Amino acid sequence: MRYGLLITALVITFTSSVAQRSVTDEMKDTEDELYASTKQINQFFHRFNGEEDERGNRYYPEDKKYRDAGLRKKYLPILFDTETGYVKTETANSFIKEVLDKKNPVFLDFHSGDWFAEVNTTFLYKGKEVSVLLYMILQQQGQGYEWVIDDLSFDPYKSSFKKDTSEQKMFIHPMSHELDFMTLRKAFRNTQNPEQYTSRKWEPDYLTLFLFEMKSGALEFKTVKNVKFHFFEVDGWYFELSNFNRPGYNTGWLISNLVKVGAAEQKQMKDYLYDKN
Amino acid sequence: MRQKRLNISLINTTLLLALIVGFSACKNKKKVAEVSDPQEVRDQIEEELAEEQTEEKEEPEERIATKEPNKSQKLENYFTAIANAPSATSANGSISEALTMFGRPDAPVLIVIYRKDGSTDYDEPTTIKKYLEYLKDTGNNKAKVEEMVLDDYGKIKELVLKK
Amino acid sequence: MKIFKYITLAATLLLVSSAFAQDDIDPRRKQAIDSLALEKVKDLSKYISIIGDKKTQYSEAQRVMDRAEELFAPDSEMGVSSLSKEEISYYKVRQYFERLMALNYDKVSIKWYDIHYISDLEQQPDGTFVGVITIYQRFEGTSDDGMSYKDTTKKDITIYVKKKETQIAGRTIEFWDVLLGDVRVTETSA
Repeated sequence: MRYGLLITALVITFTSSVAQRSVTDEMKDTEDELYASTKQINQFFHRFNGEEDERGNRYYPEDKKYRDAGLRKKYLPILFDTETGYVKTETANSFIKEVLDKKNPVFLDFHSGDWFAEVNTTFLYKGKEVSVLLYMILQQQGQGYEWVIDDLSFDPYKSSFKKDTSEQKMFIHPMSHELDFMTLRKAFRNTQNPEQYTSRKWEPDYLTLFLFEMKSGALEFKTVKNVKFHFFEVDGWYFELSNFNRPGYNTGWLISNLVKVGAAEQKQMKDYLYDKN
Repeated sequence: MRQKRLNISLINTTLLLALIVGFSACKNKKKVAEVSDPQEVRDQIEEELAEEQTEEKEEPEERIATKEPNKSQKLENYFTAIANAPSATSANGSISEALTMFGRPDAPVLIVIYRKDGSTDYDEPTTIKKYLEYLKDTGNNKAKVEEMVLDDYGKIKELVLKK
Repeated sequence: MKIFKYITLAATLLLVSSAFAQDDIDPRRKQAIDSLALEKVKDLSKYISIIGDKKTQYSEAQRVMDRAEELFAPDSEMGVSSLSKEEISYYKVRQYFERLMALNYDKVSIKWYDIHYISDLEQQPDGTFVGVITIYQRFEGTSDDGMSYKDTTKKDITIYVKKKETQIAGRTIEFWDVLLGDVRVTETSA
C-alpha cells in the first residue's frame, strides 16, 4: 500500500508538462510509466545512489541534490519488485534503513567488483540445444574495462565427474613404483571413472573444458535467453536484480530477491549462486 | 713601306678576327658548357621550384574568419527553409540557392559543440552540400552560424556553426 | 637512495591510478557529447520513420537507408524480441531496415516517445568510450481490410565515442566521432 502511494507520488512528479507534437494522448499516459521504469542497470545505480532526478538527468558532485538522503529515501523503495511478493516489506525496510544510515550511508560502485552477471545462454552441443549459465564479471583491462567469463554451470559437465571417495574406491597400490607403474594398465581399463585416481585436491575446471569444446567445434553459441545480476556490494546483504517487462509503474531492473548474509555465509551464498553445490 | 703597313694591318685584322672568334668561341663554349648538361639544369630548376613551394608552405595561409551578420542571417534563413520544406522538391530548390553563397559545394563546415578554457570540441566536420542534405533529411536545425571565411569573390569557403 | 626509490614508487602509483581514472570527460563536456549522441539517435529515429512510411518512394528509401547505415559502426546488429516470441532474432542493420520497408501494411505510423535515457560513458580497453541510449518507439500498422497491429518497443542503442583528428584547410581539427552500435529491441507491455 505504502509503495503504491510512493509510486503514485513519483508518477505525478514524472508527468511531463510540455506538449509533445509527436506523442498522442494514449502515448502520454504510457510515457509516465516509461519514466518510472528503471530502464538500465546504469539507472539502477544512479537511482540507488541519488545521482539523478525524476526525468533521468544526472546530478554531479557539485549539484546540491547529488546523493541527497531525501532523494534516496524517495527512490529506494521503487527499486524493489513489489508485485511478485518475493521481497518481504520488512526485509526491504531494514535494508533501506541500513543503506541510508546517516553516519555510514552505502553507495553502489559500478567498478567495485562486488557484483556479477548470470547469463542464461543457449548453445548447440553436439547438435542439440542446451542451456549454459555463464557467470561474468567486470575486469580492468587496458585503458578501461571489459566483461569476462568467470565461471559457468553446464549440466552435462556436472554429471560427467563423480569421484568415488569411499573406502571401496579403486586405487593404484602403494608399491606400484617398484613395477614401473604397471598397475596403470589395470587402473585405466576402467575408463568410466579415471578421476578416482586423482589427488584429493583435484576439482574439475568446467570453464577450461567449455573453452576446449568450443574450440573443437562441439559447442556453438546460439543466443542469450535472459540475464540476472547478483550483488554483494552492501555489507551483510545479498540482492538479485532482474528485469520486469510488464504493464504498470513497477518495471525495468528491480531487486527481485534480498537476503541478509553474514560474512561467514557469503561464501556459501556465492557457491550456491555459482551452482557449485 | 706600304706592304709593311698592309702586312701590319693584315696581321692586326687577323689578330682582331682571332680575338673576336676567340671570345665568341669562349662565350659559346660557356653557353655550350651551360647547356651541355640539360639534366643538371632541369634538376636545378626543379630544386628552385621546390624551394619556392616549401617557402609557400612554411608561410601558412592566413585564415580570416569574420562574423558577416547579413550573410549569416541569409544562410540561416535557407537552413530554416530547407529543414521545414513541405516537399523534397522545395527543399532541393532551397539547397541549390543556398549553395550559390559558397565557392564550392564541398566547402568545409565545422560544427562547435562545446567550448571551455580556449579549447573547442567539434562534431565530425562535413561539407556544406552534405550539411544541407542532412537538414532536408532530419529537419534538425539547431546549429547557428558563428563565423565564416570568404574567398576573394565574397563566396563562403569555410563555415563555422555552433550547436 | 631509499627516498628516491619511494618517490619513484609513489610517482608510478600516481601515474597508474590516473591512467585508470574513470570518466576522464568532465560533466559539462559529457553533456555536450551526450547531446551529440542523442542527435545521432534522433537522426536514426527520423530515418526509420521515413523508411517505414509507405508513402516514401523506393529510391528515396534506399538513399535514406544509406544515410542511416552510415550512422553505425561496421558489423552492428539489431537483436529483436517480442512478447509473443521471447527468443531473440538477430539482423544486420541494413537487413532490419529492409524488413521494415517490406512490411505488408497499407499505412504505417512510427512515433517516438520524448523520453530518453543516456548512460554513463565507460572506457573500453582500447580507450574508446561506450554508452547506451534508451528510447521508445510506438508502431502502428493498418491494412485496408481493417487489420491492424500496434506495439511499443524499447530500443537500447550502443554509442561509441572517440576523439579523432582531421585536416581542414591546412589546420588540424580534433572532433568527437560518435557512431552507433548494436541495438537491442524489446517489445514492452506498456
